[in-house]
Amino acid sequence: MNTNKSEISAREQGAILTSLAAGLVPQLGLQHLVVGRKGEIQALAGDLDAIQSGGATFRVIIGPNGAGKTFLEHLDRDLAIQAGLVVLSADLTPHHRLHATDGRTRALYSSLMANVYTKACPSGNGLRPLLESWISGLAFEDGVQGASPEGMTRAISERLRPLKDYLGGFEFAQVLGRYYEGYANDNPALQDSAVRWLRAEYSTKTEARHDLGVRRIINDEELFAALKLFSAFCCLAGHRGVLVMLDELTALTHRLPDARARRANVQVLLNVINDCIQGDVSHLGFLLAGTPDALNDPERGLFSVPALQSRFQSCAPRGCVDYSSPVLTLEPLGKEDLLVLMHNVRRVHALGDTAKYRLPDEALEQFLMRVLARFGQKAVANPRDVLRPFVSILNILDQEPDRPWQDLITGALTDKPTSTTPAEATLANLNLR
Amino acid sequence: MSETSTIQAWLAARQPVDEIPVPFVAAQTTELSNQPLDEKYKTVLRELLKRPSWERAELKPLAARVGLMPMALVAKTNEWALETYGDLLLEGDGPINVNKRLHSKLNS
Repeated sequence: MNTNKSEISAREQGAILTSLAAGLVPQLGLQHLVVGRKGEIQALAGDLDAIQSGGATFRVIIGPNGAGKTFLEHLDRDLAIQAGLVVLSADLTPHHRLHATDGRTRALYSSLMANVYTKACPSGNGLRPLLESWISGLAFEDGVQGASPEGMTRAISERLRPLKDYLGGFEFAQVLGRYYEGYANDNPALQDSAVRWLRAEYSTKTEARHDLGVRRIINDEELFAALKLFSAFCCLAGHRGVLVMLDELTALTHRLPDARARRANVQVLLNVINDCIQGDVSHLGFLLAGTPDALNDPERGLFSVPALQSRFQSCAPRGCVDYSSPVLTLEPLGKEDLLVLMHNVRRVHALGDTAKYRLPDEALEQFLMRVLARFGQKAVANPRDVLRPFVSILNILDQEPDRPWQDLITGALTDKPTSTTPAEATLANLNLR
Repeated sequence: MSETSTIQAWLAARQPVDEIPVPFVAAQTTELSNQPLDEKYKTVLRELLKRPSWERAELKPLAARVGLMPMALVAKTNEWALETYGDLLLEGDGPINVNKRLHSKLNS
């Protein structure tokens, strides 16, 4: 078998091909597809190094739709969990904000805690495994081994003593103790309440006190403090830090109708950046993503706030890219990159076995020429329009290996490209165009 | 160097989790995952493979046999399966499904 050094698992192959066929970015195995972006990847890997070493990072990926923001985010998430970090991920929306007083910041925190990625749980359901792995590990420790449930609860409180220096740390330890009590006493409702507290799903202290006996909840004002606390816990639990990924930055800059709400959200962003830059945070990183409007719009973009502009705007000479800048701007892939991407997809499809390639190099070049002739620059700007029919051809050749590939390439690409911006999609759905 | 090999090289350069000094000895489950499975754990694994899916509560007695809480068993099993077979064995968090692809591989 002729295989490449970098092995592709059947799980990765399935995830990649299914996602690409649906026009989505795969959730895993992205290292097998990656094309270009070497500087960006090294910059993001450098951030992960910094988080692991106890630092704090703040990075924004900016690029038009289809430029590969989601791809880069998923790749970074993969790298982070492989490196022992915990990743929290959520989309910013008008209902999931950095600042609010009506539960919408709490909702963002809930969303982050509902999407906890670890190496053992790469699908995002990692909160309970994370808690239970730590508690189970504790039970193996000298002095705790064979302890009664009460002894275990005391040990949990003891081991989490360092968290009491953090806002809400005392209650966090109490809640973890209650979680264990729920386990020891066959009381899943108590465990569910503890998870509900950790996910900031309690809206009143009364309810939390009734269910868990704690006097505090994670509220709208405590998003950042709660993330710092969670990161400290993850480090105690043997992980190396936390990466928080927030997509759809434009939701804060362009989808909040009230200027005061926009300012308040941007102010939180500024506070987070300042804390990260000034070294007040450890083992915690932030990665945000958005379209160029989120930065450059003179009225609503982050650059319209002088303090943010001074922190974000690159000082690199014209024509140069400074990858150490907090903002990574993605340019669309080039035609050559697109060809390499197709080579990579073909390799994934054959699980790295060159003998099983369904299409020769010549076919890939012909397909690309046809794509460019049909869609021009738009195809290059949004690779999903190229990859969907390409994967389809590979799948058909799996089903009908004797079919001439020339026929399939000629017959492909008869539809218009499907990629649209969210606004275009909305307009299309409303039949307003 | 290609982007893929850049990533592989970066990952290869990472220290294993257990080499990082942490305030408390709290990483046993991760350390255990890097070791071959002991006999007791293999018995649990065989039990796990007997059914296509499990409720979280049903995993409790099974996990207790190896001194773990149910979702810690899921995490440990998956870390082992990822390292050994490049795939997760247990998916979801209620019910927890046994991955059919790996099931046949493990049974063989």
